[in-house]
Amino acid sequence: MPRKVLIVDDAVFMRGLIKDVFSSPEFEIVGEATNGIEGVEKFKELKPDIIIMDIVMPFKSGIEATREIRQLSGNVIIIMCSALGQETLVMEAIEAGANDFIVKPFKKDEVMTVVSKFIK
Amino acid sequence: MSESEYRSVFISEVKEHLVEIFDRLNMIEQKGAAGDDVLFDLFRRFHTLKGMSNTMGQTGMGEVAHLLEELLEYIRKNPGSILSFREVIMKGVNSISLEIDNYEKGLKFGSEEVISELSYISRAIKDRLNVQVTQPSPEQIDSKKLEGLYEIIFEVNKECRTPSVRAFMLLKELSSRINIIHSEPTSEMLRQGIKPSRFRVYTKEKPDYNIIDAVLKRTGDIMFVSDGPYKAEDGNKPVRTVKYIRIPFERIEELSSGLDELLLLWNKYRYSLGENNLNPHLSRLEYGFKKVLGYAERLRTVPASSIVPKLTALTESTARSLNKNVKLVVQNENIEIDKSIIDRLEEPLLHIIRNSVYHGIESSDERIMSNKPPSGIIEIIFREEEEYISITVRDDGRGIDRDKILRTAREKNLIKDENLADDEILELIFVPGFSTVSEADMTSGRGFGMDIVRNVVWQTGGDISVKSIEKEGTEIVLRIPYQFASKKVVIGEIGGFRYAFPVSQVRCILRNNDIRISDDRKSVIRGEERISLLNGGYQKAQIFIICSGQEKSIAVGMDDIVFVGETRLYKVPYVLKSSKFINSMVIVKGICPVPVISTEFLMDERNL
Repeated sequence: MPRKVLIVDDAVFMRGLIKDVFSSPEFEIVGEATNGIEGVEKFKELKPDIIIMDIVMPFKSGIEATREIRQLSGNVIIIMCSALGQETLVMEAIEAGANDFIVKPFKKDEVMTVVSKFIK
Repeated sequence: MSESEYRSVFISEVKEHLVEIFDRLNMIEQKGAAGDDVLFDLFRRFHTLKGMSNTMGQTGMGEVAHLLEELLEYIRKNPGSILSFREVIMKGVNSISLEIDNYEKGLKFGSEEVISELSYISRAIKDRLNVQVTQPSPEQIDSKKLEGLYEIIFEVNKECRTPSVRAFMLLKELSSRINIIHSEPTSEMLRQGIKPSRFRVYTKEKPDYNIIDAVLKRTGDIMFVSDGPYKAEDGNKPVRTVKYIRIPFERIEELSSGLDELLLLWNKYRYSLGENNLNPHLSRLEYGFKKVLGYAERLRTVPASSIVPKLTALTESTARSLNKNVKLVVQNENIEIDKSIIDRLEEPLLHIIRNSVYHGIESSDERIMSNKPPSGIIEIIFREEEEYISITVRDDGRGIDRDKILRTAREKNLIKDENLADDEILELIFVPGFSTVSEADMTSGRGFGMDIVRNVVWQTGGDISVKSIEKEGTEIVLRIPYQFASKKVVIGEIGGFRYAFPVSQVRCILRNNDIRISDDRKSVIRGEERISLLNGGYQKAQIFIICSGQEKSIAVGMDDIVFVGETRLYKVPYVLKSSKFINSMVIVKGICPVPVISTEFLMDERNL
């Protein structure tokens, strides 16, 4: 069964890129959210296996959303989508419960290497 | 999404952000102030613009957005300052807007001027805030605090873009499983932005390697370097002196082959006793014997670093003669490798490095033009893996030119098939006859081609592979067994040719007078049993090798048996690869290389 992926990012452009990365039979994009609040809602509704989460977003940041989602589920794989220069924020996100992170601009292989560490 | 779709989404999304940004800036202009939410909104939009433009390769736009993001971060902390910066923000936003218009039309626009202005401001802000731009220096720790602790040293992959976060992750994962007393740098220092290349973790006792291994796999980008009780580096402690004596290597080889013989005898004896029949004395003897075998094995090994000086010298002299700047970086050179193997690998490694300096690394000017640091880097990484030692030689040069390889291979009639996969093209460099004198001049030649490099590696029982990305570099990986691979075989002779059969697949060897051959000469009959005969057409066979597969056996007629015993195993040379019966070769003193027959394949073939 394909793994369910939820993409949380405020930029259509980035969501498009991430969708392309996960366009394989192993994955199914079950939903997209454009901010942290929507991200938490969509998580409850769709129960994804993997969440790709932007850090800086309107209304509720990716870190806040990660913290809330992690309290709801210990199993969901949360991967932060960060940029260079955001190291401190990424560390905060990891403390909040993120499993790992990718750095923009990223290549498909890099994302898959990170994801494959968590799925067997 | 296709590339043109990305392009149009990118353009329209940047424009959308710009409209919103202009809107906010106008509002600030009218009110003469800005609320937290507005400033955060601007900050976030610049951040998003930065990520998108860098992804699309629009680094000018990305840099402007990055500097504006930094500026907004400062303004968020000092909201009053927005008015003094609004002009330069406007300039920056205008430049992004011009860039995106030009990008849409396929034109270029330089943002250098506004970038330099913004960078100046960014520096000024940092000075004003007295922010430490340089890395905080590691906290001086009291070495007494660490005395009696166990030290584990890790290294962050040099290519890792975010070393501080990786180290932070490792620390977090490790401390959830083992009791960490101290680390250097500490997670607080990592949070402040210190970028470690190496870092150390201190625990009360020797940790479980399985835990470390699992954590490293999970974290990624970090390697284990070494571990041991902490030793202060103050030099006050007495240095343990090691005494050396010189011994010819042959004597060590004599010792190990003598021990090997003993081991064989011991195994035979053990086998004759049957399972679980070892009395306590014999089991202590066995334990002691195995310990000695371990010591003997260690006698044969030397640290890989013993060949590093030669490699460094060669890199420097070759680079100098070609007027290039090349640095050789060696990682993990302390691992121990069988002396006879490392000796054999010296020439191949020298050759690979020579090739890298000569063909891979570009001149400084060319490197600068292609946005690389002027000095090239060749990395040699030694790694201990489960069954192999791997030696990676990686350069950051121009990579292997596929078209050139294909041209050369065609000129030399090495290929006919025009549709080779990328890895097949790269493999061509190992084909005998590929590298010739015209290409390999005095510096890179010495009549030593990549085919010979591969042969030497094969002779150790190892393997070699190549990866290369054009403009980014080449990576050659040698996988070498800890000791020479060996195999027990029976070598038979038929019509002047010799073939080897793995002992593991030979059930027995029968003489002519032990058996009867059926009238159709298709099987060998021994008592009640009928065994298919592979080469019944050969009338002169004196001896039959009976090979047993999973379900049936097969007999092969031979003139004679010339050798039974342990020999060195080689990979099959390229020319023989097309034969499916053969997958390796063995070499015995006094006998030229003998192909090892894959008996399983023989059995399949008969079924067809």
